[in-house]
Amino acid sequence: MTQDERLSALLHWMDNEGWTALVLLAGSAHSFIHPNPVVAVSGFRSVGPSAVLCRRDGTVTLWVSPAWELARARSNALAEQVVATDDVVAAMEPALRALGSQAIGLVGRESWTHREWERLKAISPPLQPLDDAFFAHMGVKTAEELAAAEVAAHIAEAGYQHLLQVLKPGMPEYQVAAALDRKMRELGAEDDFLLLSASQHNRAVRAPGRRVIERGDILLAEISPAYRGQFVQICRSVAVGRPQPAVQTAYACLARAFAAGRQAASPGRPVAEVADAINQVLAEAGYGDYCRPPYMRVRGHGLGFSGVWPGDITPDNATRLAPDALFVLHPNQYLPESGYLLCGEPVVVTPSGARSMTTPKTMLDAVATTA
Amino acid sequence: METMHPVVLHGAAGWQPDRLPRDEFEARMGPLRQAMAAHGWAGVLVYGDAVRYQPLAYLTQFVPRLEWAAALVPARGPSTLWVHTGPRDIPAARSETWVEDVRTTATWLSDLRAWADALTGTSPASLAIAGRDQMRPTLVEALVTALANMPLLSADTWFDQVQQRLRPREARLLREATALLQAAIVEAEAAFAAGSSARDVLLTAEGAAREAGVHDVRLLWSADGHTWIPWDGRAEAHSEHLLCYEAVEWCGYWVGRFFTLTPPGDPVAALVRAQTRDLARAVTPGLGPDALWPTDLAPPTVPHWFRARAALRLGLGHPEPLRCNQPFTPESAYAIHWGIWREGRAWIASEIVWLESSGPHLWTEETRP
Repeated sequence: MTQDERLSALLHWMDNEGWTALVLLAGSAHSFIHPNPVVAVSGFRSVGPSAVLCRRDGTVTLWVSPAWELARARSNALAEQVVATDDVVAAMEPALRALGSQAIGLVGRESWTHREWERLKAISPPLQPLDDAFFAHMGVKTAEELAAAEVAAHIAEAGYQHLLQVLKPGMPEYQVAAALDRKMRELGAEDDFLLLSASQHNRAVRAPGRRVIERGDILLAEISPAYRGQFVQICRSVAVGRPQPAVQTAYACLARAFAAGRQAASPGRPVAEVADAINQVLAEAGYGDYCRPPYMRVRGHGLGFSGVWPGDITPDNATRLAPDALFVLHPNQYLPESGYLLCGEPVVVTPSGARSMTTPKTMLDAVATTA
Repeated sequence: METMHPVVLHGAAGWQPDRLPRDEFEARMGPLRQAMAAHGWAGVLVYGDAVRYQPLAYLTQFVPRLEWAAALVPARGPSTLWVHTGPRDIPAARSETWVEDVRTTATWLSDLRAWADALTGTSPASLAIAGRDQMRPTLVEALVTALANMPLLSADTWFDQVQQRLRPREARLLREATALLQAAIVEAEAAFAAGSSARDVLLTAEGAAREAGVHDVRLLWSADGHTWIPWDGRAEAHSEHLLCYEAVEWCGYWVGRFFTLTPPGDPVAALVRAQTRDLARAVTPGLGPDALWPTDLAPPTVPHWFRARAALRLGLGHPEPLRCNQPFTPESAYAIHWGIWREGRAWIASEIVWLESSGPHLWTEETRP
């Protein structure tokens, strides 16, 4: 599906459901696990709050902020009309009033602040929340987004290789993160969801802190660069020095769980079966009691900016997978013998099953240290 | 200056008790408890998220890296901090605040209701909220429903006023932030002088700050001064004239500067830097900012941001320009930005000023490596 085809599908759906227009909102905070409807339609991520008015005839008006965003928005956004302003609500008022009392859908209310929303509500005709229905139509990645994901996956792996080269005892965590971040930006990453931390026995992965890396640590990194508006994520564990056999065994268990999850991620199967397949491997290894918080969070998730379909990889997600579904699959997990370990790759669903965009790590990596 | 917010703050995180010890927060709590008694507030609820965390960090030092958090300061008893994350991540959150009772937001409404139900007294107890306007709409709606019988007031004005004057440790952190920023800019200047591409200059500016341990870095660049471009991996090849804005956050405190990169000996760049220093040296307690700008320094086409000047305080990722009638006050820090247009090009510079009763200190000069 191309971006044009995705927009055509949206307009077709609006026509069928009787929606005259959609108001799409995005705040100044950005997320890689919450969908952004403004990006989904316009392809543009604004510095400040932004909005789109998508009419049933296919015309799209984009409001971005602040006002100095005009030139960037005009050259990058997919919209017939671009308005750059320091006050999005005030700038939208004439267009919203012109809609009168027609059927207008609303997506993204929660991304705006209470103050912004109250101002918009005061000048707008009634708006009907449509988030779930909208993203059911807009969530599947386009060909352009999947191509960007392939580049982002390359950036992530190259960044990780750089991390392996620079990582050594004595470095504070934040300097490892800085080196990784810079390498990925050199390769074209525009943003980076990065968690990176180390310990002799990790309880979770954290934001990088001031702790100094020591021999015997296991360093964890969720490496998630964005390229042209599309995120991917790889999850890596690295032993600093020779890892304990128990840690290697635990990591191998997670690698098997990843393989089982990928095997289950075929078109038509519900997401829940993917999570179940991962959990089953862990349960058979005697870790069934650890397949719940606080020992883990989810078994993967969709990847923004535009949509995050098929959502979190959890046992209660009934969404059925389809070709071009893109998500990270990660059996990230605390196990008593090893502490928390990360193991995950971005996968895309194809007609014949899920393909990993990166090379899965079947064995725990280690960096040598001088004794 | 508004900048592109990243999806997560991934610089050096964590509470640094050697810089902000627990007694600093106890000292901040004192006036708040006095205000609570004076206003009859039974408690104060302080909201913050990754974009706007000023009052929350002031009381707790917790800076949400993504999502949101809220703290309840009751009139009596210990405070509670709720962080919007799962139980897996609560131990890490505990290491980023002096508050001992840290929970997930899964129970925040029921916890608040239980606290409200336990209040006794003859007059209705009220809750004052800081940051209500910044909350997501459903959070406000849920809060209003959960505390249906409790008057919900605003504590925003109190926090605005109490944070006008920097406490000594806050000033020290801002000065440290200025030094970190200055060091990063010097590296960027060196990269530019060596003929690096615009993207390498920007990567140097950001990378140097991150390697030095700041929590967040923001960059904007411009070729013409009209459009500011956030980092998107697409910066152009070497430019002979590059405008940059860099801001760093250190323990929650932001400092940001504009700088213009031009070939050596550029007389306009030297003029703008000198004018900016002169303006900074003229910052005087009680003086209105408009009095600072001699009319002969104000070309008629100057964009509004050229004259922006911001008070630097905690958590001001997007500092708002001072109102024109707002006088400079002692024990405050300011960013003074100044620039000019000539023949379709812009030059801009900034100075960071610490103002004491005796006059201004140009931190930008004092901390330049």
